[in-house]
Amino acid sequence: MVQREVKPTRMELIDIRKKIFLSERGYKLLKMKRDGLVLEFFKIFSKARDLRAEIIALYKKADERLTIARCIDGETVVSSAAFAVGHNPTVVMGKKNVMGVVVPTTLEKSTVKRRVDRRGYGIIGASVRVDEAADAYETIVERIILAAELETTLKRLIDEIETTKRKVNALEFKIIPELKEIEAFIRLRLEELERENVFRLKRIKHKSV
Amino acid sequence: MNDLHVMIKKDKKQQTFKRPLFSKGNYAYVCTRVKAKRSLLFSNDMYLKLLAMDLPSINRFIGEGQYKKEINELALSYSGLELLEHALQKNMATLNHQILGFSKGHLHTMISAYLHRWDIWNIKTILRGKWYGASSQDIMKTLVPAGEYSELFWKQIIDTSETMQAVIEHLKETPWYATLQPYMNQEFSLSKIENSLDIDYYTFLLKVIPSSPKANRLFKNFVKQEISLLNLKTLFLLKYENVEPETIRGLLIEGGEQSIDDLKCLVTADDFNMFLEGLSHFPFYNLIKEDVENIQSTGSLTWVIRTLEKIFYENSEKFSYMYPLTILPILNYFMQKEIEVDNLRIIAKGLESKLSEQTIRDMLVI
Repeated sequence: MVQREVKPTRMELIDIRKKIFLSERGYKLLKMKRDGLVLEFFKIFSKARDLRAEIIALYKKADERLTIARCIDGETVVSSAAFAVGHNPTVVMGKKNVMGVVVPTTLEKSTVKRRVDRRGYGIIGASVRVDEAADAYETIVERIILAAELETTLKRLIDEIETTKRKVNALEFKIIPELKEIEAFIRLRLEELERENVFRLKRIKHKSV
Repeated sequence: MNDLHVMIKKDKKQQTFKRPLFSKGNYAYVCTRVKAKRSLLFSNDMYLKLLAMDLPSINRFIGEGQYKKEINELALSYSGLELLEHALQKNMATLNHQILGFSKGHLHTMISAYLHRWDIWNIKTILRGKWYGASSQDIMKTLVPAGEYSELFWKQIIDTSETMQAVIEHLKETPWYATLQPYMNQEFSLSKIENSLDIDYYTFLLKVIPSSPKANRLFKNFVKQEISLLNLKTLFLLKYENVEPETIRGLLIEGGEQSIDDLKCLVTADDFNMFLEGLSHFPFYNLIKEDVENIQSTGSLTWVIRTLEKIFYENSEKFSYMYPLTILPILNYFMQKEIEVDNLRIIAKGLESKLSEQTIRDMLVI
């Protein structure tokens, strides 16, 4: 199919050989990139998995603390303490390059976790239970921000691994074999032309003699 | 706003009528009424029986008893455990207002001063709500109008005030305006306002209680114990997070059983372990020793503070029967009622959250 569109010239053969050389080099590089990305993925994956387990444990603890606060101090006290939270936590995000993949990274330490006397409400009348619940949830939010960073990195890496894998497969199973087929076709055609030419010259020589 | 001031002035006029100069108060009458009300409180055995029931049975039991009226009144606005919690609080608020209503003279002044803790709570929660930008309904849900001022009074403040400054303006006629006024023109710091309110409340309470007769002295001692409890709680919280001593000093209330000087070694302790070491020299340490030792393993101060609160409640119970026709049984009733409300909520919420029976028992004050 491709062969019909190809002109069997020596220039074309040189061009195709260049393309094969380039494709094979690209194939090797992409394969190395894919392997590198997979290694990086598993490194971050184990971190993200541990972090997720940690968040689940922290959530259980925080939930228990909040339940105790709701029991002893009541919903009224918990809701009122929640009103005192005047500011939303801010996260400054930046970019980082992992093997050509742009992934998010936190530039500044988040301002979620605050000291006990800086939670907004007065410390004298504050309930220890509510305060400990607030502290536990602040810790969770900080870990969630970190988990979001890692899991977004993982998603981007998966996308990139998938794209690279497709490129490697395309090179390995389609582009390079096709180019080699064309090369073989041109080479054979040129050889045939060569033979035809030799035969023609011999015929002319025989007639003239 | 004018309506509100007229309302406060009307309240003041009524109080003047109830509190003629030099009148000590109707102790016999109030104590008898309180004794009758006290008989309606749940016994310790009842809490254990409730613990063995399931949640719908508890709701039915509470709804059919002395809280029936409040549950019926609030059933349109709330449901489930929220209804139960608000009904318990409303019942406590009604009883507090009843007792305040039939007390006279200096007794009224002392009861009112004691119940101002709820007014302080309401001021704090309104300021928090306005700071956050919460709706009037949401702020109303967090109010406990069990102090001197009625629910209507707080509702009008919430509805007519857009900003925190406006809330403070509305409180011009209350004793707490002097505390709040300096913050009017400053950058608002909720925590500073709340801490000032708490400190001024206890200072005010100590001033209002005369040093004689002995029953009043015991009342004063009770307040001092409460101040000590608050100071200890503050110390535990702040030392656990290694807050600098200068900050801690400003958050301790003067007038407690242990003076600020007594607590100096705790304030200046280098770290939390040193703080615990210093605490071990105090007489009550043996009572909290076990909980203190568990702080490291649990990473929580909840149980040590809960034990301190229980010790405080038990101590106050001891002197309540010593002088029958004084403020002490009245004061004890307020506390017992609050404990009842807390215990019922703990049981209901604890069972709903599927907490273990032992955890619920540890939270109860029985």
